[in-house]
Amino acid sequence: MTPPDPSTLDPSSVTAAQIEAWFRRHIAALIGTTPDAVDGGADFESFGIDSLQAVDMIVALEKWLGMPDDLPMEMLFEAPSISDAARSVAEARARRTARS
Amino acid sequence: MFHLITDHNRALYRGELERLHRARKAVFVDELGWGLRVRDGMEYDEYDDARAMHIIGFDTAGDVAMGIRVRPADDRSMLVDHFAHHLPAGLRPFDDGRTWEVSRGFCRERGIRKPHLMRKAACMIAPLEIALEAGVDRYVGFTDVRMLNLYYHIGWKLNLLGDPMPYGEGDGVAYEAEVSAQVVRQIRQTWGLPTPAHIRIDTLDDTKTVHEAAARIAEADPLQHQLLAPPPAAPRPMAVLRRPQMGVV
Repeated sequence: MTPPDPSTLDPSSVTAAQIEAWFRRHIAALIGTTPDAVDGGADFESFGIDSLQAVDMIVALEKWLGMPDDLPMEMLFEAPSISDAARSVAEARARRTARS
Repeated sequence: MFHLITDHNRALYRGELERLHRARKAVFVDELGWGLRVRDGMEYDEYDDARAMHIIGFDTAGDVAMGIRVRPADDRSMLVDHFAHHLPAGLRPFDDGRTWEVSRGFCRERGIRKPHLMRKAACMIAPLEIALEAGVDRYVGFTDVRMLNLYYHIGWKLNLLGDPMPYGEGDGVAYEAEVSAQVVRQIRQTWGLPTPAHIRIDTLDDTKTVHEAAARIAEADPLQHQLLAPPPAAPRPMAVLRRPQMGVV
């Protein structure tokens, strides 16, 4: 199933599944495939993403979520899988919303 | 580990400097297709003179993994000589004795996990450290716009000099970068880097090579030890986008 277009979602109530969909779309665009082909169980490094692309990705994610400079790179790139990273980001987003 | 090579210790690094220029040829000429001057398989330009300083990070085999060049901008600079049309009027003069230029930065090391990113941060903090020590308060440079997010994310404080413009290899923009104790401290804290992040080997003492001397330093300093090159990443099944990770003009 093709993930929904994340740009249509409200980032203030975003879920881990929606963040994962965002990752899959972003990675698919980078490596020239479809979001369906991006395995959520794989880690980011397995897609051959380089550091420039990694930084661009986290900047774009922070912008979408309204969390500028708020997400440590380890949260994404040390995670064992894209799905795990999405869960961590969703939790960080929820904590931030609860604080504000 | 990140070696600082200046006119004072250049004699110790003859082989390493040759490998640096071969790496620059591989990155800028072979991979990026830039029309730069190549001699004997090495890329050199008019700024590779006695005033040029190089920061080089080596891989586990002792080959050049990343590098960056800095040089005082008071006599000449790539920015004025080649990109003057990108510069706005009224800019603080480059010959004020407090301005250096950064150029020919590149990284051939792949990897997005913390050890790799720490090494990139170390390579990028080193120019700031040595400039600060020399009483310099500003770098100038010209970069492809695709590099900007990396600069910002590492912690460089850039002031873009005008709007991005095509430079023949993409869109580029001139910048000046703040050199201050505050910027250095912030980057150091963010990335957990040693003070300083680079090493300077001026004599070999009882070691045979600069790499052996560096290994001694790493043995004595756990933070420097963290900056040793991690083992090469295992081959990955998916296609890799072929692009140098850190190329500036």
